[in-house]
Order: sequence, then structure tokens, then C-alpha cells
Amino acid sequence: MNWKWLIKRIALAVATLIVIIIITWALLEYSPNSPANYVEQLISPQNFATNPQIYVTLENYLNTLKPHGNPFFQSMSFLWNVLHGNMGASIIYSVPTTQLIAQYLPWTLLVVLTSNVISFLLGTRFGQKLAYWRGNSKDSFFTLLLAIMRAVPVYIYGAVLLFVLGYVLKVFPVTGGAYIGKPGFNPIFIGSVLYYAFLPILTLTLVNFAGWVLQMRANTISVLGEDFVNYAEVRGLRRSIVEKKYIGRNSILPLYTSLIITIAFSFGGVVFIEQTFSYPGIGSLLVSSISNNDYPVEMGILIIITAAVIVGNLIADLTYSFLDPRVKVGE
Amino acid sequence: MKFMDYFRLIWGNRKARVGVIILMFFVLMGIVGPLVVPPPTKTIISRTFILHPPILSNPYYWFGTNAVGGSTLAQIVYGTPSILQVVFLAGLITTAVGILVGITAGFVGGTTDLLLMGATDVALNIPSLVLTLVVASLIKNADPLTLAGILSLTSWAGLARAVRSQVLSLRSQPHIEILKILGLGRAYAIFREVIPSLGSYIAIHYIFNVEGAVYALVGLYYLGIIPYNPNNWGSMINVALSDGALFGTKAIWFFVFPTLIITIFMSSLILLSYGIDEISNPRLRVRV
Repeated sequence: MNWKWLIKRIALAVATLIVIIIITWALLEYSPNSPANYVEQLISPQNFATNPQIYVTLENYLNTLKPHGNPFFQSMSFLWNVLHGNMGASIIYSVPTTQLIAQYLPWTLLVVLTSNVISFLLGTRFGQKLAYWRGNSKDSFFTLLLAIMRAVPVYIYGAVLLFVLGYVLKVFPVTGGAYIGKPGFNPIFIGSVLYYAFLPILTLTLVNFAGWVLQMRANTISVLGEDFVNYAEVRGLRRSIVEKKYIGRNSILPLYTSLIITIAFSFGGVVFIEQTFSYPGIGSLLVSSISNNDYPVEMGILIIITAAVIVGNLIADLTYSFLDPRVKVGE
Repeated sequence: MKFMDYFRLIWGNRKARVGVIILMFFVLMGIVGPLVVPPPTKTIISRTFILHPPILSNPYYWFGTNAVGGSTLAQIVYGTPSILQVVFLAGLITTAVGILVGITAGFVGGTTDLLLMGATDVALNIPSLVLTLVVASLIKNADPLTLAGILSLTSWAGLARAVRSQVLSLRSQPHIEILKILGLGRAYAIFREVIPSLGSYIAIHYIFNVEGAVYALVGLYYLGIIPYNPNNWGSMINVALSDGALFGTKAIWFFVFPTLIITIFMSSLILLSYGIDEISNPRLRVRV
């Protein structure tokens, strides 16, 4: 393990987080319609009278948004607050932002992570198959179809699936996250969560699927021409072994790092999906807080999602060298 | 003359040809459309004419009517110019910034390289669409230049990194080294040797950036969080959905046509970029 590289990589992650927090501070402070003033006016002591403890931390947060202060100290104390989990409170719900986000985030994570795993597994498998067919009419048909599939924006997939499976065939629910019932680890609740999450997951899977197939196809084609593949075939190894161990592994590995990029991209797409399906995730919270001028929640979500992507990227970079022995960390 | 050569190359590839034809159609629709098609403000208020399905006998109503009896076709045509402006502008800004950052980092090296790549890494880590949503909602300004700027906030980063690595590998190649010995200077090397050899690469990235901008721009209007523009395809879908288009109301036609138009437009961009890739990438080249 290369320690210098490791420290540099972690420093980069921390720096990125700090930069995005300072960007949010600047957005709150310097945007044309002055969100900071608005937030200060609207968060009043009586809303939090029942819980003075929260109001004390809230005051800390608000002090960092006071206009005409020294920008450096203001932004630093904002940073300090955010890093200590104090992101202010929602203007609409009168609840601490972090609490609100914690309530909505699991739904989004369920959709984003599940659909990314499914689309990655299916997409790479199909992409490999497609590469074996390269040059024939089946391949060019699917490549064209997938290219167009990739071009269709996610909100259109969402709307069309909602219409076909939700309204016309009435197979899946069109709104909400689960039955209103007691949450917990009981099979009924989990079943209903999965049932309600099916359409959002399917939508996001379809969107990402085409991208994976095309990338995997391209990678596989370039691996197919390598000498070691020819040699393995000449040695008379079984076809399944050549396909899995020689071609599959070598062409799937470079995709591992783009998995994280796709997940980051999915956090954008999930906003549209949750809006279309009225799914109680962080995306619909973002849209509703944007349209209600609930600035602290907006900024909190921006920070949390970015933090999630940063951590994901870090994990991907650190684990990549374990998966691919050719890549030594730091090279 | 040179332009014609490029055009002939693109024309020779089937995918690129289809993409160019559709794209030309959209550009024509944006430039000539509003001059030819009567504006959608001409409405017929009658109970039967609201959200009417397509009327095939009258070309003006081929796509049906909107919630106040205006022509959907005219709305789509009148929405085109602003979308094309924003989208092509955003692509231009993104690509220009990407190339600038990439080439500077690659050629200058040292601390500049470190700083620029640090900024690139930061930009790559921020989910661009979420940032775009937040910033667009804060700025609440829908003039094309501002919107284009917002849409290219972080999307330059991928190109910058790619250009940098290309520059690094090109820089040490003999034909660039010779330029140094000939005393032709850095600018000559950049503009006469490096950028032309990255030409098709940059073109593909430009198209991808335009595509990303279409996705984000229509999405912003779809969510309805920037100042309302009734003719934008995204706001049309938004209106159709809030009229219950997906739940069996008459608004379904008003949903179908903007959706189709967006899909066709995006597909044309994708086809063109694939075509250029096939032309320029020797591995994929079918015929020369």
C-alpha cells in the first residue's frame, strides 16, 4: 500500500467536501434573492419552543448566515456547524434538516443502489453477449436500439412506465413508498416497500442498462483481439472458461470505476423518478423544498448527496487495486 | 473546401447522415418555424376543442391542441429556438472550458496542473444535476446565456481530464518535440498540432455535452422550478402530467408529442456522435 497516495486521495476527498460546503454557504449568502435573510426571518423561536435544545443549535447555524459579517469567519463557522451535523432547520416542517434528510434518504438509497446493481449485472452480461455477435445484423440492431434507449431522458421512461404498468395494466402502485402501516422488519412491510419501489427501480435500471451494455460491448471487443485470448482458445480451454475468466474479467474491470460515476449520475435522475412516482425519497424532498424556498433543506440535500458520492468514489478507488492486480495503488 | 471534405465524410456514414438530417430539421424548425407557423396564442375556446386529439385534415392541428385550444404543433415549434440556443451555447461553454483547462494543465504542468486537476476532481465529485437544480432555482433567471452557464457548471470536468491526458501523451511525441526545436513555440504546437488531432474527440464531446444540456434543461422545466416558459417541451410535459395525462384524461396527446420530439432530438444527437466515432476511430471504421 502506497501511503503517500492514500493520504493524497483522502485529502482530496476531504477538500472536495469542504469546497462543496463553502459553495453552499456562498449560494445561501450571495444569491440574488438573499436566501440567508429569508431563512433568518422565517425560523422563529416559537416554532421550536417545545424543544429549546434544538433552537440553541439552530441559533449557531443562523449566526453563520448573518449578512455583512466577515466572509471568512462566517464561512468557516458554517463549515464547522455542518461538519458537526448542524444544517439548520426546515422552514416548512420546523424540523432539523438532518432529521428530515435521515427520514427520506433510505428510500432513495434503496432505489439508487438496487437499480445500479441490477443494471450493472444485467448490462455487462448482455454487453458481453453482444460483443460476440459483433458485425452481424443482430448486433447492429441492438446497438442502435440501445443507443436510442440511452438517449431517452429518465423522466420519459418514468412517465411511460407509470402509464403502462401503473395506469393501463394496474399492476403496480403509482404513488407513495409503502402502505401506511407500522414500519419495521415484518414481511408485510418489507414486501410492500419492494412492491412500491418496483417501478422507480425498473425506471432507473432501464436508463442505466443501455449505457452498461454499450460500454461492456466496446470493452469486450477490444479484449477479444488480445493475444492471450487467442492463446487460451488455441490451448483448447472450454469456451465458458475463456468467456468468463479470460474475456469477462478483463473487460468488466475497467467498468468498476465508472460504476461510481453512474451512481452519482443516478442521484440526479432519481429526482425526476421520485417526482414522477411521488416517491417519498430525497429527490422529491429536494423538489418540494426548492418550490417552497426551503433553503436549508435544499442545501442540506446538496451536501449530503455530494458527500455520498465522494465517499463512494473514495471506496471505489481504494478497492480497485484489490480487484485488479494489474493496478497497484498509486500508479 | 475543407468543410466540404468533413461534410462528405459525415455524409458517408449512415448513422451520422441520419443524425445530421434530423438535426438540420430541428435547426430549420428553430429558425424558419416561427416565421411560417402561426403562433400558438391563436386559440379557439370551445369545450370540444380543448386537448383535442390530432386532426389529420388540418396540418396546424396535426399534433392536437393544448388545454386552451392552441395548437400543440405551434407550441413545439415556438419552443425550439430557445431550447436550441441554450443547449448549443451550454455545449460550447462546457467544451471551451474543458479544452482550456485540459490543455493548460497538460502543457503548463507543475502547480497549475495540480490546482486545475484538483478543481476538476472537485467538479467531478459533485452530482451536476442536483447542483444545477439548486443553482437554477436560486438564480431564477431564464435568459439563454445564464441558463447555459448554469448547465455547464460542472460538466466541463470530464472533458478537461480527458484532454489533459491526451495532451500529456501527445506532448512527448516526436512530431511535437520537433516543433520545440524549430522554435515554433507553444501556441503553434497547441493550435496547429494538438487541437486538430483531438478534433473528432472534441466534436463527440461537444455533442455529448449538448445532449446532457438538453436532458438537464428539459428536466428543469419538467420539474417546473425555473421561470415558466409555456412553449418549452419540458413545461409542456409538466402541464400534461398535471392535467392527468397518465391517468386516462384527454391530455395524453399533449403528453405524447413533446415526448416524441425530445426523444427524436436526443436520438439524432446520439446517432451523430456514434457516426463521428465510427468515422474517426480506426477500430470501428467500416469504410474509408
